[in-house]
Amino acid sequence: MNVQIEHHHLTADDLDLLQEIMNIAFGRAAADLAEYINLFVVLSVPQIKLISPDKVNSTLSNELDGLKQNVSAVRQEFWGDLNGSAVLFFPAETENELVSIMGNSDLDVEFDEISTSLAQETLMELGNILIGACSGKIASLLKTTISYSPPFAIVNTPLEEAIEQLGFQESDQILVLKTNFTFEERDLSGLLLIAKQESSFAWIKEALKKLMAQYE
Amino acid sequence: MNQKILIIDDSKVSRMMLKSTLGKIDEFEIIEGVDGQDGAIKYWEHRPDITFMDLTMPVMDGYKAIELIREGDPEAVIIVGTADIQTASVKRVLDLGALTVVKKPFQVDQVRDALNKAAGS
Repeated sequence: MNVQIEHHHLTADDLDLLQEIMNIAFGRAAADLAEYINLFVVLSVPQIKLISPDKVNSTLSNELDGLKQNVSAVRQEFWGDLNGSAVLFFPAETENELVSIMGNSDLDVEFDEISTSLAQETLMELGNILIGACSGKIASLLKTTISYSPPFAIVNTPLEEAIEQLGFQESDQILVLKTNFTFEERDLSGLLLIAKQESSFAWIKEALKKLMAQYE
Repeated sequence: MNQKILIIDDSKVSRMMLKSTLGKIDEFEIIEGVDGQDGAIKYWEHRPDITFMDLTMPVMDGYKAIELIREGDPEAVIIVGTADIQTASVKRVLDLGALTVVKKPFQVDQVRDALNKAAGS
């Protein structure tokens, strides 16, 4: 079980259950995306981690170490009973593959010719599907609804700068749910992080208790 | 005698949810495997009547475990319980010889239907 615990108010059992919820949510999100792009999405076992306030940026840097020096990313915030944000990361220089996967291959342009704005549009479209489906399914399993901010995308930016631009707050402990995914037949993989703010933890505990009551 | 069911899933919570769901349907003898490799070993140790198999697991995934089990026992009855409901995933496990796919989170009616299908197989 890929669960790591630092100081927190959620128990190991709570985290086990959240990990399974993430597994279900990402499975549904991948199915939605696969149908849209007509490509099989290979999933990894999700990981879950609580990060203390002073370690948010350094932990994210370590988590994202597998990506190249520069990254492209799209972030969406969500709020309601669950508050947090979801960020989808890709190694930089995969913009042409992303544009092609998302159905804009008819543009037939080389990477250099793909404008930053087209790459941003593509990232935001992909983020909308994957983040919306995944966060939405988590909310639905926990019997609540969430609202989303418009997506915010950055293209080909150094990792440290990207983390800063994406604006993770260092004032709050966050719960990070992480999944790697790969598009079959394409040399492209990315990483989805869903970070929930500490202000949601009490509500999450209660929702998990209600969910488990169905299985007692 | 109660049917013997092997649950192969890396998530303790998921195994618990399935055990609870099965308990609402009938009494079963339950054996658990924590990943594909452990599950395949448990399969040969216990020779269950029905195996519930997750797909996304560490060490050995469910696809490989189905292949391994069905290679040694072409009559093995395997029900896939997964959150990965992509059309390609479902087709792949059915091609490997799984009987049917039940999507997570487990619901009593869907698990009962799968067990009925297993009884008629």
